[in-house]
Amino acid sequence: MRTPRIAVPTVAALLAIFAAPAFAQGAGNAPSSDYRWAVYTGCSLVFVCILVYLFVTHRKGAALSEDLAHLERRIDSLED
Amino acid sequence: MSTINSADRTTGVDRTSGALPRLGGSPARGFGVHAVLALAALLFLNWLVVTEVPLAIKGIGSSYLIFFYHFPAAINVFVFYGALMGASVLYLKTKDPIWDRRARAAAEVGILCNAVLLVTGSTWAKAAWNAWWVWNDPRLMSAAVMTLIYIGYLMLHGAIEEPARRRQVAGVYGSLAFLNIPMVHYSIKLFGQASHPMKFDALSDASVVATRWYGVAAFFVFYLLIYRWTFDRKSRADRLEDSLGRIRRIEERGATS
Repeated sequence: MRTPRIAVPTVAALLAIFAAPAFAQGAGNAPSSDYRWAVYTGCSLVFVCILVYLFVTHRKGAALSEDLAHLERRIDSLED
Repeated sequence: MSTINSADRTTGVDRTSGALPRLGGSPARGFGVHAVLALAALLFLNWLVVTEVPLAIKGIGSSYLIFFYHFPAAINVFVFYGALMGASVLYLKTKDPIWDRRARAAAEVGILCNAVLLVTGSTWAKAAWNAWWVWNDPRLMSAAVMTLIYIGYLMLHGAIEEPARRRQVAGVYGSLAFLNIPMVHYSIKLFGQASHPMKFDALSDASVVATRWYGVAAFFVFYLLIYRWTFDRKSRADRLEDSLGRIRRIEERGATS
C-alpha cells in the first residue's frame, strides 16, 4: 500500500500550513506582503496535492473496478 | 451501463448483464470536473483570504486568518454528520445496503472535517489564548465528545462480522448519535462561556462574513469530492468481499460434490 507514504507528508504539510497564520501573529500585527503570498502559495499547494492525489487514486480505482467486473463475470459463469 | 434496479441488493453489482456496475448507484462520471471545480473554489478562497479581508484584526492579529478554514470545517461537520443520520434512518426504513454504505462514507468525511476543526481550533487557541486546549470549555469538550462518538460509529461498524446485523446496529447508532449535535451547538448557552465565544464580534466586518460563508461553500465542494472518493472505495471493497464469498461457496460446493 502506497497510501500512507503519500498521506503522511500531505497531512503534515496541511498542519504546517494551517498553523502558519496563527504563529505568524506578531506584536505589530502588520505582516508583510511576502507573508501574505507565502500563505496563499502554501495553502494552494496543499490543496493541489490533495486533489491530484484524489484524482489519480480515483482513476486507478476505476481501472480496478473493471478488473473486478471481469472477475465477477467469471464467477457468474462458474455459478451457472 | 448497468442499472441498480437489476443489481444485487447487497453489492450493487449487476448480475444480468455483467457490465461494469455504477459502484453502488453513485455515478463515478464527472469526478475530474468535480476535482477541477473544487480546486478552483479553494484557490479562490485562498485568494480572498490574502487580498479581500483584513490581514490582521486588532486584538487577535493575523492568527484569525485560520478562521477561514476553521469555520467551514465546523459547518461541514454538521452537514456530513447530518447526512450520516439521514442515510442511517433511510437504511433502517428501506434495508437497502447502499444507505449503509453512504452513511459510512459520510461518517469518514465527517470525522475528517472534525479533525480539521480540532486541529485548526487548537492552533488558533494556542495563538489567541496561549493554550492548545482548555479543559473546562463547554464548546471544546462537547466537540471532543462528538468526535469520540463518531469514531465509535466507525469502530462499531468494523467490529461486527455479520453484514445485516452490522448495518442494523450501525443504523441505529448513526441515527441516535446526531442527538449530540445540538448539544455541541448550544453548549455555550447551556453551560456558560469559558474561552470559546458564542459569536466573534471582532469578525463582523462585511468582507469577513462574506468570505467565511464562501469558504463554507468551497469546502463543501471539496469535502463532497472526498465523500465520492470514499464511497467508491467502499463500494469496491464490498464488491470484492462479495466476490470472495461467492468463490468460497463455489469451492465448498466443489469439495462436497
